[in-house]
Amino acid sequence: MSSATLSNESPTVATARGGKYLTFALGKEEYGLEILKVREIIGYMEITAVPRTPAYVKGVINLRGQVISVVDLRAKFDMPAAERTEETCVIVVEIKGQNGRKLSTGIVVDRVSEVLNIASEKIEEPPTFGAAVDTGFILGMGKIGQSVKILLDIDKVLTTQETATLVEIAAEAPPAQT
Amino acid sequence: MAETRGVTNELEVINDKCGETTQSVLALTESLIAQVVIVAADDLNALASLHGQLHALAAHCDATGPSACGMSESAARLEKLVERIILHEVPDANQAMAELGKGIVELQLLVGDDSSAEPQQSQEIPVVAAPPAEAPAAHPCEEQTLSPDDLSLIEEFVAEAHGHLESAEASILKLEDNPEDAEAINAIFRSFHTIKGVAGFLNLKQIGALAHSAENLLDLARQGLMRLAGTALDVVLAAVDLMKVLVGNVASAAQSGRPVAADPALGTLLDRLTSCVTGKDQAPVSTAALAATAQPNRESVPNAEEGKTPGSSAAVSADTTVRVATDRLDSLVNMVGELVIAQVMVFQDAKPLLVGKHRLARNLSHLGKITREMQELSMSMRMVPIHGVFQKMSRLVRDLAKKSGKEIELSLVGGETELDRNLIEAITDPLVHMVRNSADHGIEMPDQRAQAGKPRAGRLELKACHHGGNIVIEITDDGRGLDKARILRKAVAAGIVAEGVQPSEQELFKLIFHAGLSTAEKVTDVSGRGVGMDVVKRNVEALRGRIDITSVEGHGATFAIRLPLTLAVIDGLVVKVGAARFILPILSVEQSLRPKAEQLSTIQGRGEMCMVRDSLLPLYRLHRLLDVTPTTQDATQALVVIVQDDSRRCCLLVDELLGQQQVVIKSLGDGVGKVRGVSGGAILGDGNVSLILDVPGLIDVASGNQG
Repeated sequence: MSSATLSNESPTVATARGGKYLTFALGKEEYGLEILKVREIIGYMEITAVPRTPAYVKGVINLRGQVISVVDLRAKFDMPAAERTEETCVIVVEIKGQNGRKLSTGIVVDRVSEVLNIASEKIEEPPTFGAAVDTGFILGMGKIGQSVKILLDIDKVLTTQETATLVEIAAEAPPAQT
Repeated sequence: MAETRGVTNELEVINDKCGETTQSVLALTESLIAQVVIVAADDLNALASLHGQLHALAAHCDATGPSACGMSESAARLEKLVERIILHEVPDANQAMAELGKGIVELQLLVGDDSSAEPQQSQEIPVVAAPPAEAPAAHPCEEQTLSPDDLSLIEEFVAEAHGHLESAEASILKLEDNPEDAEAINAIFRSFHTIKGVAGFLNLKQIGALAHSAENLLDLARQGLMRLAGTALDVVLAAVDLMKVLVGNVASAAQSGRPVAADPALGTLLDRLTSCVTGKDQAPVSTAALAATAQPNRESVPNAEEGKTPGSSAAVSADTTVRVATDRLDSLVNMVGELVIAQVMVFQDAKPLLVGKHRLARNLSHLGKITREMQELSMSMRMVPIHGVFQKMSRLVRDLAKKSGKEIELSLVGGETELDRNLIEAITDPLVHMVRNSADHGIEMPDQRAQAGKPRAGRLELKACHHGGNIVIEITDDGRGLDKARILRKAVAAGIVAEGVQPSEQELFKLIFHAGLSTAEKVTDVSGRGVGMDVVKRNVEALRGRIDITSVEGHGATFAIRLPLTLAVIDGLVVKVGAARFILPILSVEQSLRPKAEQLSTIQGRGEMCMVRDSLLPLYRLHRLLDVTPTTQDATQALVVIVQDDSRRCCLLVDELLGQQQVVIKSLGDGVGKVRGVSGGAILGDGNVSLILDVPGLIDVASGNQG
């Protein structure tokens, strides 16, 4: 929808925040993920629930022999749950865990939109809402024409306090990976 | 060399000359050392050349000035000695030769002191980090930067060197039992020789120097000119240790891109090696003296090894092997697992089409066979014999015995038992602790043993075997056994056990795994700090294993570590609860049954119990523990699986049993982390993930036990 406006932008030197973003939708909001963090996009498949985990951890799936966890981004952001549709899919991202290990995690999103090149001068600092809305994991607000993309720092999203403790516990767990 | 005699008055020139002189002095002493090793007392030509060089050395030192006064004197003294040897003026030529060797080593030390004491010399020759006791390679102690082109070669070298060192270590221990074992000497020699060759190629000077010196010593032993026993063997062992450190240094330097750190221990060890070589004909008394002076160095060497090369557990390279990165192997295993799933799916899809199509049916079943074999093969690739770990233990026991003055006979049984590589790595540390514990606490001092009517030498047995799908590693000693009264006393004092309570024998034994409880009267550097055994227990439990203790006071103790064969695969019972499938490890499942109404009872209307063969067991509904909706709430319509964990037994209520299956355990990924009651995930035949239940954890959760 906004790619037309994008192509009119003069290409600028990408700074720290400027670059390619994969955009996706949660409800009416549009979000963006740094493209380098994205490993692949897979269709929604059956997710095995894991008991006694935070509500936003949907469960685990089999990604070609590797078991990875799947996070429901809506639950993570305290948004109401949505119906599963044909467009619901899982974006597999590679994030850095607390201990520097790379870990793959799936995130469930309503719909994947497109890959956008967002210049750094089009990215604004996230507004502050006080304690009501946590903006700590927002890289910035990308303005594409009239629409606004919320650019996520996915590392922070998935390793905020709750996940952090989990990763710590996992580090002590036996190395039973295969 | 003679040009240094021309002394000028100009300061700069003197400085220059000083550097040059020191260098030539170094070179001279080096060649002296090399010669004195091979020279025989009746070889006049060689002696003459020695004489000449000593003379030249004395002259050099004179020219260098007052700082080299001591050197010129000892050089002159040695010169005289050689003269007397040539003229047959000494009563015992061999002893004189030994003296000569010692003198040259001393001289070498003087040169080292001198060269490090001269500040200006750093401009002329590279900085000498420690008093260099030079082996033929020049300045091995200096810091050295690795060439980036060599990095991949160095990596290979490091892995190879570890293999060589380990086999050398094994041979040394063999040699200790049988000093005449020529094959063992050859094996050690070959190891050092190979290392030296590659180190030379890669220009790793420290390693080259050490390997060279060690090789010199070993060569003598190989030619039968020297017996590799006692001090000499200790020195060789120390050389292996130091070599490990050096190789470790090179490895870390290669990774970090920093120059290779100089190791101060190298100088002293080179000295010891050289003095072993030159002192080959020394009287036994002086050998003992040498051992005494060498002792302080010995302490530092194993410590350094512990600190610097924690991961030097490269498997013993026995046959023709290929080194493969473990993550590659892991992904191969993953892929084969996926192949099996895909194959099963294809097979199921094709089933309706198979009628009358023999060719397709035959090919499909052939494909199935190949995939199964591939899976087995990929699993077996991770299996390695436990032999290497045992070898480490024999080294450990040897050192411990030497340190504590105990006599310990170690026997190793079942070293060929294979287990998962990951497991081998994970079990090494706990095993070290346990062996230390047995050697330090278990086995008594020889005198005590004699008093107790036992042979002076304590016996320690390490045994590995397969036992019903598990691997059992037993550590048995015939020492004093566990002192139950003392454990109880300590436990009461530490507040772990309430006063007046008399725990059962097994419970008492388990107390030694309690953190903060050490029954050692005094803390030694080996054990007794009260940490260790609890860590051991934790580690073993993390590997899904357990430790059993049997002990008879005064007669010894046996610690049996039971571990799964591999961390990767378990036999599981697939159960269905509601729509979800879970896997119970078959090892913890006792039996399953459909309960009759009269078997079930409740306490206060809530706590459910089930009477099975006259024992009343708590009944936990799995769907409540795991938060899923069951197909039925009526227990008599469901099934009960009786599971046990140690002495705890309970019934788990499930909807359906789906069958028994070998599953590959996968971690749930860091994103989920550790969940109580769940030990991992497994990919079932349809490609979906199912959770593997952790029975002890489940029982803890169900019984409200937070520990």
